[in-house]
Amino acid sequence: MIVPEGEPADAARPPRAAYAGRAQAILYVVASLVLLALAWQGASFIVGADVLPGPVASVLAIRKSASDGYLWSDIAITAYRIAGAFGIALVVSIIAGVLLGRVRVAERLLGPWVTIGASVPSLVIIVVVYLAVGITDRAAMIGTALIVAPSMTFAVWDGMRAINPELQEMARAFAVPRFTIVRQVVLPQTIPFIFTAARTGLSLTWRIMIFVELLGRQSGVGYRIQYYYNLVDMSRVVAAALPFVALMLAFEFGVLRPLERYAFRWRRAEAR
Amino acid sequence: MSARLVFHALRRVFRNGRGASVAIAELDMSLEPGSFTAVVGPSGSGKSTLLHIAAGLDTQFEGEFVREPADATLACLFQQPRLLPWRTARDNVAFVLEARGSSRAQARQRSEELLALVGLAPAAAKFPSQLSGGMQQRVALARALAVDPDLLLMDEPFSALDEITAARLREELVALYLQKQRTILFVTHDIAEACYLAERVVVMSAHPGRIVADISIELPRPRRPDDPRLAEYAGKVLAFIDDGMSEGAIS
Repeated sequence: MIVPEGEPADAARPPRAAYAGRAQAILYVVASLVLLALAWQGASFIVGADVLPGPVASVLAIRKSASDGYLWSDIAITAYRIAGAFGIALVVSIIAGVLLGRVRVAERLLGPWVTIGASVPSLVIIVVVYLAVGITDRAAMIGTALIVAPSMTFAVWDGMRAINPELQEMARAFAVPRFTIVRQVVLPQTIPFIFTAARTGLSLTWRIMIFVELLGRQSGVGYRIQYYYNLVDMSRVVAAALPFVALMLAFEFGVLRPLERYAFRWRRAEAR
Repeated sequence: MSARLVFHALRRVFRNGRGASVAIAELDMSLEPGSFTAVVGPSGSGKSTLLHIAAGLDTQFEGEFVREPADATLACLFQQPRLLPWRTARDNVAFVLEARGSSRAQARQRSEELLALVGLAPAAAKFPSQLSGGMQQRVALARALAVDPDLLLMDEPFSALDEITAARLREELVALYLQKQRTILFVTHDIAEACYLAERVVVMSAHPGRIVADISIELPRPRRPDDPRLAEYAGKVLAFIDDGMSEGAIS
């Protein structure tokens, strides 16, 4: 009576085609990087190597910084501060975003705060937090988190609006307990937006933290950039920033993207 | 066990800032255990509202609604499959079983059996996005059957599918109904579908929603969709809908 329906055409590509596709992707990445290095070198020629050192000079300067002994300690301390600030911002923005998205009164009453928070100049926030908390690592983390949190909150808040009430209705019709609905139906729908918030938040955190260090810390990548800027040693300025850029990229491609691919494997199927 | 549903002097008014609209004006209806009832009507006739009330999703009604037994298990099939996109077909079926306290292993085994019953055994490990609309709706059907419902509520479950798939699923639904004899309330705007599936077709009119006719379809099963007697019934239903509409226009 019930006829099995044929499986849909399995869209998994044959391995050889997959390898070819992968090789092509890598080729494009390499080409893109080479092009960037050339553009950088070109810019260096135009404005002068003393203002913008070329890629080769910069990499050599990294080696010099490494032998001075503070390269790795700078990276470590900045990474520590970024992790702290990012953690605070993530927790705050998830709580605030969920609250704004789910509670009408909160949205009306507190929603404008996020917009206001996003438009306060970063410098004002940093200075106020340094004065209030003291010029410490904790202040650097809190100040950066406060600057980053509004845009992350927006991302989570938007996501809460996109939650499909029909799925909750389905679960209720099947007498699924309330707590299970939140855990199994609502939360999984927020994960894509939390990923988006985390991704934009992390790169913003890194860029803000450099400023925060420059203003009030005696260590870290931001401090080192300022130090060499004052000495007008531009190759060392670039050398201070470059390893951390590489670290951020490695984190993005080595941790964040694979994690995202795994979490959304059900979505990837859609794209086929 | 099958459930009995009784609606008495049921009224549902939606109020918003500007005013009120009467979705269901006055409705008396009872569904006997093991009966298959279709409710047809134009949009705005309150048929989906009726289904929401029967499902316990809408409690803001006036009048009386009784489900016997009170703890009857119910299952819903909606117009859209409403599957959790991040769960495989098997885990979507298992979801409602686990929520009812089955162990994970038990739930998985049972859901594989049910997917086999609806002809989807090979697709158990696929995500909804990898399945066609018809297959997704089959998964939703397997999920509905998983809880072994005393009452099956269906809200235009085949209207978003192509006609060939819909016809096949209708046939399967009838076969399952004949086998299990559980109470079914089936809401649709497709008159032919209602007459083909149900033993009883309740016709509703819009603005306000109320019952204008209650027709029993006295045709033996299995029925053929092209049976001329079905067309006769459909014509009768259509006449009542037209009457209801012109009456509504006058008032």
